[in-house]
Amino acid sequence: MKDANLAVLPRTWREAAARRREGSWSRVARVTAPYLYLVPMVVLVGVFLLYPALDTIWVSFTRWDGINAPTFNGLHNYLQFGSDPAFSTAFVNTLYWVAGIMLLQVGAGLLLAVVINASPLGGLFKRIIYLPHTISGAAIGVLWFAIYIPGQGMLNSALRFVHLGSLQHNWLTDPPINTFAMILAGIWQGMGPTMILFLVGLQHLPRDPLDAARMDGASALQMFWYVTLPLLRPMTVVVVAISLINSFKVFDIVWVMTQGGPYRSSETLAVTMYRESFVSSDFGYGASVAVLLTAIVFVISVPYIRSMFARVEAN
Amino acid sequence: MATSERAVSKVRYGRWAITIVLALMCLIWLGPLWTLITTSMKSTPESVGDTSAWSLPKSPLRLFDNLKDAWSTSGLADGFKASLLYAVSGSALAILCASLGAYSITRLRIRGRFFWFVLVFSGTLFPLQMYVIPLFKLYQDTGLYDTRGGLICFYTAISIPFCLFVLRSFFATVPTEVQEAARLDGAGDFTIFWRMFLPLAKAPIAVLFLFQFIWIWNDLLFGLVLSTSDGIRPIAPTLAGLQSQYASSGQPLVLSATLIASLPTVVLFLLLGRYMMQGLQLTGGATR
Amino acid sequence: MDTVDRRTFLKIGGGAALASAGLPWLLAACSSGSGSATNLQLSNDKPTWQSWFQTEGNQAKSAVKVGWTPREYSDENAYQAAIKTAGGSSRVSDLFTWQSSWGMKDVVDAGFVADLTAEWDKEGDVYSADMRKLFTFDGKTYGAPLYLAPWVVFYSKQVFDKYQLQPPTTWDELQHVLDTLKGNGIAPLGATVDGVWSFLWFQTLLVASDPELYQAVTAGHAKYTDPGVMDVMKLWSQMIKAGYFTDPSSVTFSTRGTNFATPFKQGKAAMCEMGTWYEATITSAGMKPGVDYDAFILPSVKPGVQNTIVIESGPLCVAGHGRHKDNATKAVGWFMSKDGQQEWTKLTGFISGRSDVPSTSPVDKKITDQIKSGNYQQVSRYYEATPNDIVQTAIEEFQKFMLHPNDPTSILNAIQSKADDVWKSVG
Repeated sequence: MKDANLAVLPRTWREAAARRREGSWSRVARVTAPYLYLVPMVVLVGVFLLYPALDTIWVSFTRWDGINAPTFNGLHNYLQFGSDPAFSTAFVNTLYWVAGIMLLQVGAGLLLAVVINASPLGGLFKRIIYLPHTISGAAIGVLWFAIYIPGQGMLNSALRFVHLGSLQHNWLTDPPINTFAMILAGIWQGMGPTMILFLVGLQHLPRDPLDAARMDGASALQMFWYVTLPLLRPMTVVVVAISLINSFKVFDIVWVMTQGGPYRSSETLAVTMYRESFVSSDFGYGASVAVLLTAIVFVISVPYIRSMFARVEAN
Repeated sequence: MATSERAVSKVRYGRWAITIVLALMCLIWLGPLWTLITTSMKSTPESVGDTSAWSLPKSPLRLFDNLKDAWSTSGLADGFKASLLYAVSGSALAILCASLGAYSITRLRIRGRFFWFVLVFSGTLFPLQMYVIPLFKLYQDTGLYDTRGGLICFYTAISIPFCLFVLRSFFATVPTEVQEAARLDGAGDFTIFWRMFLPLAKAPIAVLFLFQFIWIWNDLLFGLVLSTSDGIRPIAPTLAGLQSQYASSGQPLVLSATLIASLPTVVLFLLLGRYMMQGLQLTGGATR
Repeated sequence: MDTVDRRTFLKIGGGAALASAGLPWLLAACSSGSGSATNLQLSNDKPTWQSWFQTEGNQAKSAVKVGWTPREYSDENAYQAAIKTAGGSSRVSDLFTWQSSWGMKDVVDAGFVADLTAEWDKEGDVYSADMRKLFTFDGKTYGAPLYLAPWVVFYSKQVFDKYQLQPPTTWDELQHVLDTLKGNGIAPLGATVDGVWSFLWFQTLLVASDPELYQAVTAGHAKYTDPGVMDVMKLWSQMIKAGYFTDPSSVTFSTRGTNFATPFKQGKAAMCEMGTWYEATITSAGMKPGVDYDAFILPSVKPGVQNTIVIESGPLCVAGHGRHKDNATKAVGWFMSKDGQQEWTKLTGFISGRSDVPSTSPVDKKITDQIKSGNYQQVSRYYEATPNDIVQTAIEEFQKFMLHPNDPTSILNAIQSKADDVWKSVG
């Protein structure tokens, strides 16, 4: 295949080479040319990602209302975390999200990955479970909002339908139930990739230990617990890290469904960041929440980044 | 013998049990989509009431009227077209920039290969919230705010690090002999890149395009912060705004709009779902 | 080895430079400009008013040679942030809509809004002094009144007729109406925790109890912990517990859930207090003014209280740093004139700030006549009457109170502690 590519090299290349030999080459051009390939990528990432990220750190040490120029106020924004009840609510809610995603999405995702191929309809099931992941967080928010509306919403009508009317709730105005309700919507969206990643991990398990355990007459449960799970560890690290990172950054679903309300009871840190900046015009405080979020995510990412770079180094 | 037969039938029963349980779960899983579609088929009065969530639509063909209303009344068409532009051009430009970079890092004589890679790749490590405030300010100051160009630039930039990661790994696997042979035949670096490396990378590029397209299509935060007017604002913030904007429009209109906004990515998934799920493996599930 | 021909070098170099450095600004240059000298841009966060703005702008153009084209922002937060960050430069659009009173103070202080004192003076006293106060800072008046919306109670005529109820003129009569409706399984009053509307009944009950105290509290001269405010919270709590309000979780004044207009039309809810702009939503739900619904001004809680009505008004501002400031002033001057206002009320059905331009809606006409004949003093809506930071905290605390109406003390303490901080920093 690759040889075939070589065989059909166009004649023009040879001509170009001939032309090249005649000319005189600027050494500068020869040395700098390879760097030019980097320019678009480095400039775009530098201007639109790296500069803003660094600037956010600076803004987080200032007081800035969007109208007047930012003024330096040291650690004041960070010290505010301790005394701001909205912040602590948001922090606790974010932990709810993390716990919910870890237990339900990662746990159930692993379980699904283990059993789904046993079914003859596994391929179909995989697609169905993955499908919500292709829908935007905004659309999922609008849709699940319609499900949770107290009067005519699908959930409460379903409960009445099966004579469990007493379980009806104001799903989105009653904390902390509103956060739990939104976590379910989040899991609906995120389950697919989690399951698929575990499936990928399972496919690449070494055969020998599994066969050996089977020969020794281990039960399915024993196999899973003592052999599969430890072997799956590298992928589990990746899935757990990704899920942790994503659950710390939840924004879209919450913003669309409750905007963090009522009385900021369902805010997550990412929503607090947005609200402080763009609703309360307290950009400095908003930036400090973003920096905190980044710090948390960095700490969680360490094992994940390490495995990512291990792959890079291997190349 | 008997025991192994029993074991086989046990396995068979187990398969059926698993299938039934999974089928039930998938039915529940599709429940929200059922609401989405049936409500989009109803008239507003039909959608209000205690049992309406479970009632079947009286005339399912109303769907097309609702879709037409949603398409024409709410700025949704503008958002749809704008997002199409951003998703296509953002992904394409990002792949172009990243492949140039990946080619240089893996195949050309440069210093600090690893430095350049890490510099650009670090763009995926920050949570999105880290970019929002300075970008808003930068866009205001430069006049990029609320322009198509501004959004294309950002979406390109945010897509680059991940594309670089994938393409760099891919280019590293291309045997050096290929490059040497082309060079002996007199091909320049750019020609080798353009005529050989890019075509070789067709498969990962297709998967990257799919992933980035969906990501850009689904983005809410940056559409919300960097744009505002109809025609420039992407589809996700338009949809989010719709919820509070049209005080008298009912659920059917809002959910029809949701259906429209979800259609492109869902169709892509139904057509190319296999590649998407395989692509997840290729990407190692990198996040943003 | 690593050789490059010159053409390729230039190609890549040029392409790279263009793609990276030039592209953003090139694209920005191609983007839509911000209007011309005689066709100004009018930025606003009112997408549903698009055609009204357009028509009025065309009228202005034919009257004074300067018109405008609206540019809608669909997200209120993004809109405010955009105007605030652009307001100090000439990139700002020459005309923009805003909030009055405290909602306007920071942009006025920053010099983002042009002084229109001369235009107001020209019109004399056809605009009431109470109204002018909403736009006046340090003796100068900024912005033209875009709309005037008194806050009234809309009621369903069909429901009132069915139970032989009359619009109440005293608190006792209101009590009778509430009990009758409640007894017949109808939710008497609309209330919601959605959006910003939790301040609604705090404002309404405080104004109906003690308008002086309302003004003192919003101006920072009295505390939220004042016994008079506490009494209002107790009244509110009693009314919530008596079941006089709709479930605040299920009803909204937007499409996030069920708009109040739906149960209102179905006859399941009978009344709601809102600015008169809400009529647009009621009528688009299929109810006719004067036939299906009508409005009254909420009576005072006790006899002997000064007749007071809450008014809401938002300005059309001329940008202080706009490129076409003089032309913009001219256009707004026409908008404030009798001709301009007649066109505007004809288009929108709004109440004009001018006393010599009558309302086109029978419901509004009745209300404006009553305000005049009853010598009502006008006070600003809570949302604009006090600094925004206090409003935001109050909205959250009131949401909490509406869902758990047990502990008014902690609610009021929380608002007061925010108010202390804010008034200290305002000075």
